[in-house]
Amino acid sequence: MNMALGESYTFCIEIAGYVIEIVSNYKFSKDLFSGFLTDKKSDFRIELGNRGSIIKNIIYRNGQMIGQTGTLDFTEMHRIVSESLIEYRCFLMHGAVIALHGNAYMFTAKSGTGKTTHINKWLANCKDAYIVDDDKPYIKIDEVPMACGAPWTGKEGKSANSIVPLKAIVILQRSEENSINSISFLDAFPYLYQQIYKPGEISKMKKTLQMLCELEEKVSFYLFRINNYKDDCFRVAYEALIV
Amino acid sequence: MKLKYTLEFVEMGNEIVAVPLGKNSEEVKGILKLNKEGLEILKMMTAHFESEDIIDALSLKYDNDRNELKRYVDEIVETLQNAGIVEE
Repeated sequence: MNMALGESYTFCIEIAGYVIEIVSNYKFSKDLFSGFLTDKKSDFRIELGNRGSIIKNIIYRNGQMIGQTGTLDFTEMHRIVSESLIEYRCFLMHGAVIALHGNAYMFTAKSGTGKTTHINKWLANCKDAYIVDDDKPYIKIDEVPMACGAPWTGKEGKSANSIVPLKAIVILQRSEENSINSISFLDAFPYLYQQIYKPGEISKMKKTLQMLCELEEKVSFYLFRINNYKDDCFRVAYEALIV
Repeated sequence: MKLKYTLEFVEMGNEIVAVPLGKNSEEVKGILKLNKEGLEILKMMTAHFESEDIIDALSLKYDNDRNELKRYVDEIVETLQNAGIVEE
């Protein structure tokens, strides 16, 4: 990978249906967005200045190492894109999203609860299922809320450049036995609030909160007390969400 | 008596919820569900009313004994202090 400091590299990516022109100091940054690159005309532009020393970080895409990056560059882009997309009615949320039969299902919980393990069960059991995003998708608020894949993926590096109608958000809590129940938005809210990206600027935070609340009438919410190591784990979720 | 955070009041179904926003609001664990009276008190606090001002305002509106109102307001303030929403 070439690192040519002092030059700048311009390219466009498409996320959540919006085209963003990125101006980056690092040539390899473009590689990190493979699958999201586009030639379309941009909706807005993000430019990063020099951010000091590079912190080496290994970046994976679909399970394969594709290179190293200056973490400040990639992470800073993520923050700026997330804050910019708020103005386009999109907010970032921590969770793993799978798509099946034209609908998206988001599994959210704090790190280590078992989101990735669980969505891998969906891939194993449903041949038509695919991962929209395994870590931090964008939720686009429209008549029908949409789950949108993004390049900034989780530890397994899985995301798709797709936008899928969001049917349900499932909050995971570790438990001995598997059980899942529909819950109200009010009961789901404290968990959801913990998992959304919270911009520092109050006006942007208010917009994010407003968008989150618009999900109340449009999406179903579930609390899934989960034990991924029990055989019925996938069946319990599938029967509640799909059947 | 001072609110530590900007609060956003959000209606969810039949409930009103106060959500702390801004710097360090992550320190607050959970959200505040409010009844009608709790909402009134919290809104007065966001307008920088002190406890005595709040009690005065409530006395004009409700028939309750002033001492009873004071106990109620003190309980609310204590709850908010324990939740880290209000500082002295």
